[in-house]
Amino acid sequence: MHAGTGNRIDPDRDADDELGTCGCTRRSLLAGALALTLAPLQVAAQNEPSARNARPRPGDRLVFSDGERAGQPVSVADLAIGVAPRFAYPADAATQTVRDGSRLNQVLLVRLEDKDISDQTRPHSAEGVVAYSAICTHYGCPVTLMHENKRAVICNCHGSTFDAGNNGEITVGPATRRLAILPIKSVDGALIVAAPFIGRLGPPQE
Amino acid sequence: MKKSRFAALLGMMVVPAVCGAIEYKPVTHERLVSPEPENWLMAKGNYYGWNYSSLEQINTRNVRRLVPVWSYSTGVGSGHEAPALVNNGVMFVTTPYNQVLALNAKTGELIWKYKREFPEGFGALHVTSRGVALWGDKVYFANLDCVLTALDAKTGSIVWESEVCDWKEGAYITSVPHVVKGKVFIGPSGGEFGIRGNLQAFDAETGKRAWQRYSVPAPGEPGSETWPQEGRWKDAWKIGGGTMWMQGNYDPKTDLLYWGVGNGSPWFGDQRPGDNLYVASVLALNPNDGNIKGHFQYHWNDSWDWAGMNAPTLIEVERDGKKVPSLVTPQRNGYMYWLDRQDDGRIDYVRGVPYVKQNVFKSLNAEGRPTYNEQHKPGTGKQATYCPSLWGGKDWPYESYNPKTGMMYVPINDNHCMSLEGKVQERVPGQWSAGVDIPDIKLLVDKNPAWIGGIQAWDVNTGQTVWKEKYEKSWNWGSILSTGGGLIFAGGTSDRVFRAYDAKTGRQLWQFKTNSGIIAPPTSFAVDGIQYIAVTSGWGVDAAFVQGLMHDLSGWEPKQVAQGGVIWVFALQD
Repeated sequence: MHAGTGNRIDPDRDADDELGTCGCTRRSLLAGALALTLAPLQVAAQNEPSARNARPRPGDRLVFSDGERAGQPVSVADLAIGVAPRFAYPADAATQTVRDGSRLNQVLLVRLEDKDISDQTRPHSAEGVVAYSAICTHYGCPVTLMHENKRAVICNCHGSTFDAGNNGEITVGPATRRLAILPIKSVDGALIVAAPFIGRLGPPQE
Repeated sequence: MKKSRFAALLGMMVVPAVCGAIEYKPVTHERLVSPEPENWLMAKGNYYGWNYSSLEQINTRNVRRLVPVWSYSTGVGSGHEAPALVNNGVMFVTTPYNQVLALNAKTGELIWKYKREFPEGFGALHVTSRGVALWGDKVYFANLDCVLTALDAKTGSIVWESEVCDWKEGAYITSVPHVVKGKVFIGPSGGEFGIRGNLQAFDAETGKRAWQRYSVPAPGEPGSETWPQEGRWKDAWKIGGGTMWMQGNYDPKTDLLYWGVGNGSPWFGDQRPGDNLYVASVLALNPNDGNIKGHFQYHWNDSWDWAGMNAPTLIEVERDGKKVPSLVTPQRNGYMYWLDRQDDGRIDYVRGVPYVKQNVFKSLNAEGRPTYNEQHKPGTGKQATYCPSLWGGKDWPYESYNPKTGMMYVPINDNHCMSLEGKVQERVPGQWSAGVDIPDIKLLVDKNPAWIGGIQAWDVNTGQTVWKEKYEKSWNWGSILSTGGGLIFAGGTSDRVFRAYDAKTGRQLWQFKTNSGIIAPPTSFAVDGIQYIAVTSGWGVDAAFVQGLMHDLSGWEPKQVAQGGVIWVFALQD
């Protein structure tokens, strides 16, 4: 029932979907759209796995994603309790490639008091530091604010609030999906990815 | 496998799309200048921005017999803000999440559906859409992720795509495109993300960009003298806001576009000392090249997020026995303006009066320039309260002008104020940098406000209000449609009700409770001699945000209005 779903022809998708009421196939409807004929090559290229847009992997080192120290490793000592989240990307440990090819790889880092970290979240934290997807699960804005309780983080677009001490659970909407947590560990003070994201990234795509 | 499929796609180029079920009538300049009463060919119904249908089959005497004849679920939530356009029995409605629906306007059968997935990691302040534009045999839709798309009106297949902006910078598009003489105009949003506002024109056939006009002049350009030239804020123009996110109106006689310009960025004017042309203004533009032919700035050095994005309505106002080409507009800053539009594009101030409680302007001078109560102007490190709040006396919803009654019908919100204190927020591309964090935006209302939302009917010739409607315990987020049948139609309230009023008296004549709250503009059309009223019900965006605040501040119910979009079409019961 979908005509022109998506802006690019997906070469891996069945091109024979039936279209609505007019009896045309998807195949015939796309005919004549000259501009589209080059699109499949672009998509094929984008679909090639690359170190830059691969999701964080165990062993990746976290590096600052912006500011004067962009690209430099983040250490536990760079983070203080009660201050706004710092943003980071994972970087491949062997090649140093920063995984900044996808916005979904952006990670927020905050440091919490030990009492504010739940038993479920503690194994994924490192010396009080927790890491979450930085992309709000409401409309995809970056989650940039620290709540005055020094424990929750807030999206600065519509105020969705997530408990950084407890698995990124929602404490205030409108978001309907918690933030994905990125398990980390500390190795000589440096922050290292311990396991892939736990949870879904970004907003639901209705 | 991929290679062979690509070859197959190339082969498809020469296969004609055979799709003869729909008789589609191409849209021409003549049709847009003089739309047939049975069609609704652009978002506000005509180039003057009237949101008026001359159809009169449904009228004050029989509107009680109005019943729904079909409905259609859009399949998505969030705020539905698009009017239903109709061309010869084919309806086009857009929804949140990059979706366009083409439906048989008489039966509600789906003809085609377009949906574009968001790119990975996409984010935007809003995910809504305010509709499509029509020209020739194409439908123009602006995707949230900064891509303008031309679709084949018969099939929904993509004809061309053009990039308008960069969503990774914080830009996005909610606006309906607008078409004049084969050019498609579109303005991105992003005034809270340090986007420099601009309007762009694209060739309707090819998608090639014809021109781009920034609302904030670069150094050396006319108007740049109203921005800091040196010192700490000398680069303020680069992130100055003034986004042009609502469609304009057009005068075919003078060939002039009238387009509104949004708020300054960041919100606090002391971070960009000066008048800041053309923020919070209306521009008269040459549609052929984008050159600015005239302007009027509603308020200088905007510090309240009072965007001037609503283009004024083009009306010939009677004055001293003559019909004077005018611009009439209720602005977000709480003032209603009458302006004269000259043939060469000049815009002259005539009159401005507050239409809601407004405590910032002390007076307007002969040119319409306000003087301010400085204690009500927030700044960097300076807390101030002001009325109306940033949502304004009227936000983006459409007012309507009815030439039969000579009245303009304005959806308003009164009795609300705001407390803001600014700070310097370094701009990081893609991040909010309005100079205040969301949790620090304080809406102020009485604990038990008598009313906030309402409708005002203004006689545009006398400049007086004729009647007023007030909604207890609801804001009004709905656009207004007026008709030749002496009716106005309006939703906008949190009780999910769609209403019809007598346009002359304001007496409510009919109502229907829909699935959700209505924030989309109603439209009217006819097929086979039967008049219909169409509106999409789908609450969300700022209406939902403010409703939550009102629940917390004043105990208003519900905290959350039911969401999920449904297109409703009504006609008279036999």
